Amino acid sequence: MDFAFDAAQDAFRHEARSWLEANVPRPALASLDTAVGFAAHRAWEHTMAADRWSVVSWPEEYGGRGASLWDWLIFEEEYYRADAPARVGQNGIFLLAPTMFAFGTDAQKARFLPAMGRGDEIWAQGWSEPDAGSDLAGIRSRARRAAGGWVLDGQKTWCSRAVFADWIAVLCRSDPAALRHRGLTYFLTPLDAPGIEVRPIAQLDGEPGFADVFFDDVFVCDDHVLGAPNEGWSVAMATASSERSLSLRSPGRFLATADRLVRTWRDAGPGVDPSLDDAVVRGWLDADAYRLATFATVTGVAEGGHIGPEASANKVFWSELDLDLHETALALAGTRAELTSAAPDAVDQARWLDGWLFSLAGPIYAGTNEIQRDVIADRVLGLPRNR
Amino acid sequence: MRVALSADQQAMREATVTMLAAMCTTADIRAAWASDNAMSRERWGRMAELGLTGLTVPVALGGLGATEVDVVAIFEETGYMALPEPVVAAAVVAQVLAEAAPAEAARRLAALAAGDSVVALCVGADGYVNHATSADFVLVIIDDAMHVVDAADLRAVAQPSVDGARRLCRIEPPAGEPVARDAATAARAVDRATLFTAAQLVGLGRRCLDLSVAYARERHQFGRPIGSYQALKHRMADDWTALEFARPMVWRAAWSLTHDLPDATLHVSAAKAATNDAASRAARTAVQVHGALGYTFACDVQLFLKRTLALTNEYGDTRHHRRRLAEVLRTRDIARVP
Repeated sequence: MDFAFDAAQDAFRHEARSWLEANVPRPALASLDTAVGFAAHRAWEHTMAADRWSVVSWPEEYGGRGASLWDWLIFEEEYYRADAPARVGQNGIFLLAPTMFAFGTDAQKARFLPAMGRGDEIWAQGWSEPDAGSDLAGIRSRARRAAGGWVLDGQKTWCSRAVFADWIAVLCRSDPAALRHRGLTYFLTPLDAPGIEVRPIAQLDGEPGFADVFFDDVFVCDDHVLGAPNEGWSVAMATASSERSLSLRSPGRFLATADRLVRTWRDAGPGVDPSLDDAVVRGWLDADAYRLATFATVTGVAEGGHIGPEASANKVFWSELDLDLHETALALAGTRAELTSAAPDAVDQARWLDGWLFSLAGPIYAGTNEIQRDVIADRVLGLPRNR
Repeated sequence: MRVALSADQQAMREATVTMLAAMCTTADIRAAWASDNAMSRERWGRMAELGLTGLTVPVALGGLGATEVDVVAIFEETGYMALPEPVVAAAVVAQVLAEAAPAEAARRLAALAAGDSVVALCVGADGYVNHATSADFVLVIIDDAMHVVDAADLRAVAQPSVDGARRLCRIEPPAGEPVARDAATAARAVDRATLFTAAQLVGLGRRCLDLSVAYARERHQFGRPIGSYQALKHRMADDWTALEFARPMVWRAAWSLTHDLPDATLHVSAAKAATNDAASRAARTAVQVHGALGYTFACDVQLFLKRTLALTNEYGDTRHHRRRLAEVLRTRDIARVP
């Protein structure tokens, strides 16, 4: 056991902190789910990429620093501590990239990863369908063989960032005779390809953060198939596993939120209801626990282990923690809780309100927490399956 | 950074598991309930062969000279087994005497490490003492004063516990001179006892969860194992998650105590609060999953449920520890380690 970072890691933290202090844009950028905000967030990705901070854990040849998992965790802590912008390219850099490193050809990696890392190409994810959500194997969008590639037809929904993004990763049924998990293929296509129509969907905050994406005879060349045809389920599950394990939501994000909650609580002064004192401490402790548990996980990976179904517990833990932190902040605000940023009395309150609306999505996206609990029960505890 | 046991720590843990699995079955625990002293001197002697009675006794006195980091996984396993013998008291008392009362250490610790002597720990003038009357001597810590009292000189009033493997007493405060006066050692003793108890709670929670899972796989209703129903499997999944996220808090507190970090005592509070919550929920799930059987004396769940009740309240309940953290966090940041 060694609860300390070494000198090189401390130096890396210092370098990241200095760069972020000098470069994080102020005031905060507009929401990335608006046209103006999306462009500003893309520009921020360019700024980071120019100094090789956008994808620190990637190999240098693709624009990264070849940073270890430990350094990546440190960078993430500093990133959120600096209150830096949300990552507009997260569907690509955190979710698709690990899959591409595992399943992509050299040509695909050279074609897609540098542009993704620079923010030149922002990715959306097209997995869910109106009748295939938690039951993802029920996908009905079809892919049929054509000369030199495939032709896609169908509808994807809840595609985050698809309104303004450049590319989308799509899972379609390529073998209509195969059952459920078999016969799916993972495709990559630009969102401006002929036959694609994107219809924005307003999220809880009213902004078009996700979209329906319709495919009507959309051609995808063979070079843009990720992994083997009909093996799309394994490819997708590799992404799902990184999604709910480390890469999507590192501890740094929740440490920063917990620290901000503590400041909000201190500002509220003494006389806060003791049950809220307790809720603040619980939130602070749980963020701490998520960090320490992640250190244990990363130790295992660093020593050659793999992240298995236990990762589902992370997803449940951080998404419910995020909700708890925001609900506690709103409880501290009392009758001001509902005030939007347009209200003169809102002060910093509206940020908690916006964050709370977003935190409500946490237990749903990236596999609902009900599915994650099933995974823990079935695959970690060995309880009998119910489906 | 490395958040994992060393090879030595892992080996010691496995040896402990092997020994206790054979010597501390639920039948053995029930035998302890029925015995006069709620413990087994024979088992204590066998545990000494492995070093479990002298974990923190200095090597020169026949112990293992282990640190907090070395022993937390062992305490987790003694919790899993609901071991009746006072291993936590032994570890804490050895550290206190070795640090603050060398003459007493020289006189008593070799026998403790050899398994020939049993010790009890009393914290506070109004604290209950487990195994005071089954021990050979008691370390009594009142504020900064540390007294060593031979069992024969104790004036104790039995205060029976719902956990039949605990023999609680209220004792009269010692009249003689303390063997040491040192606020820091006294505070550290409480932190250590709290930490070791927190480690035991992780084990107790694991045991309760294991009982729940085993029964839910085997028991059928409506033609299916009850463990296939989401209402139960999600409850057990949440128990597992709570335990997995509590354990690293225990390990971090052990690290902070071993290295005497400034906020170590707060890390101990964090660990106790987390393990109290995790173990309590797992114990309650175990009763519920077992249905009416879980409400019976014959079902083994009760052994772990009752120990969990005792340990979650010993050395500070959850409210106590979170209030302590709140008072500090209100005025300053608490060090995250690292």
